[in-house]
Amino acid sequence: MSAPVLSLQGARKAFGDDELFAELSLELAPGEHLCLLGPSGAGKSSLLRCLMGLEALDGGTLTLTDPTAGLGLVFQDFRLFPHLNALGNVTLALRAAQGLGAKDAEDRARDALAQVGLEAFAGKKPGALSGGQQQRVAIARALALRPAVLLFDEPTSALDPERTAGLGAVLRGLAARGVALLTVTHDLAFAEHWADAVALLREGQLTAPLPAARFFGPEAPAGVRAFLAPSAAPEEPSES
Amino acid sequence: MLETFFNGEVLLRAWPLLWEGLLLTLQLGALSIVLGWLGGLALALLGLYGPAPLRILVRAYVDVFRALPVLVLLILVYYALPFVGLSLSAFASATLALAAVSSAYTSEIVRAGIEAVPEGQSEAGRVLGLSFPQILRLIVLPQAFRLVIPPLTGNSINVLKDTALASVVAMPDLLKQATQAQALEANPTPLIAAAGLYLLILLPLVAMVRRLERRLGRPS
Repeated sequence: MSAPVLSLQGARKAFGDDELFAELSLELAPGEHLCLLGPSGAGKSSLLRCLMGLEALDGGTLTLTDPTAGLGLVFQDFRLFPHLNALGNVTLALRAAQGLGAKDAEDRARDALAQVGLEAFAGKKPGALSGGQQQRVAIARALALRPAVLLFDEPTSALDPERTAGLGAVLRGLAARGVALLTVTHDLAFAEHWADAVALLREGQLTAPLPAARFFGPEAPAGVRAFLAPSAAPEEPSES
Repeated sequence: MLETFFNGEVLLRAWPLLWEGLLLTLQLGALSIVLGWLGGLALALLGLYGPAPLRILVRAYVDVFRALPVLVLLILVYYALPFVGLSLSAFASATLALAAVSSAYTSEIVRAGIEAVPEGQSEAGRVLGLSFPQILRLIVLPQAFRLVIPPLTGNSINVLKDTALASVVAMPDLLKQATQAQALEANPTPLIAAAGLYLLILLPLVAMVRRLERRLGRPS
């Protein structure tokens, strides 16, 4: 495993007295796709928001190996800008935040749209695009900023199986270009099929990431098996 | 009957006066509307994002100027301000009064428009590395403006109508010229013509507001 692009050490997040997680550590290698599973309310989305800087961590350190290549986030509800077409959605930050000229920004935006297979839809407003297409514009918008890490919050929640497979293929293409991916999902099949590694966030604890085959296999730790098949797994003595 | 209310000869003689009055009404209306927009936008931004004491001041301003009748304000500006050494012309007084009231209403309209843009849009901007002013200028305000065009146009219609109040402080606007011509001719035709001119300008605007509201009411 090559040097991590992102390293989170001893992270703590609490809302008032309610501690979501403490001493949480996480590393991502270039081109690695890590899926994060866990029950609702375990703090998966909060972890993404903390990594992205939308919320402050209450402790711990986040290190990015290359400070010039940051993080990107694709929201569950995409949050495209409805007043701009697909191209405008992608060029906005290139021009305003990164200071690119109009021509350079457009070239890079068209390149990003091509990477998600949407070059023909550059002139369309979000309202004229399907949910799956909107998601791809959101991916292109994040991708165009050339992040080292892309975060995805529940990316398959609005997709049918066919589109889910399409998304998986897009993500695999990004990983092949060296972008590290961290996906929060409830979609076990997606994680099993498309992730390199899977980890479980539960009761404030993050399990060590395991290759998907092992995470979903019979040799997985008891806690993981209990989460995957609650009725079949034996009671954990620590929980009673 | 026709002789009395629609007298062509009277209208012809009164027309130059009416025309002057119409131009002045339009100038007063346009200037007050634009100043009201600018003031309202500034007030809305200060009221939403300014420091706390300023937000309270904005709140007070908006409430006071929405409660005060325009006519009362106009008379105060024109007749009372000279006592503190500030003598404004009738045109300046009317502009000030109309813009002050209009900016209070505009501020509320713009604030509601900004608040109607989902918070997630700002977050999306932050995630992309935009600064707060950039988020406001490139993401929030363009979406808010689309929402506020119908109510803003409606408010502008009210300002244009309220310009007629300026005749009270002897500003020779359309209404004032019409009443003068009516007195001169001892015939109400100029008043009828003035009413017709107001309708000619305002009816299309009213229809436009309805069209805009219908268009924006549809999901995009």
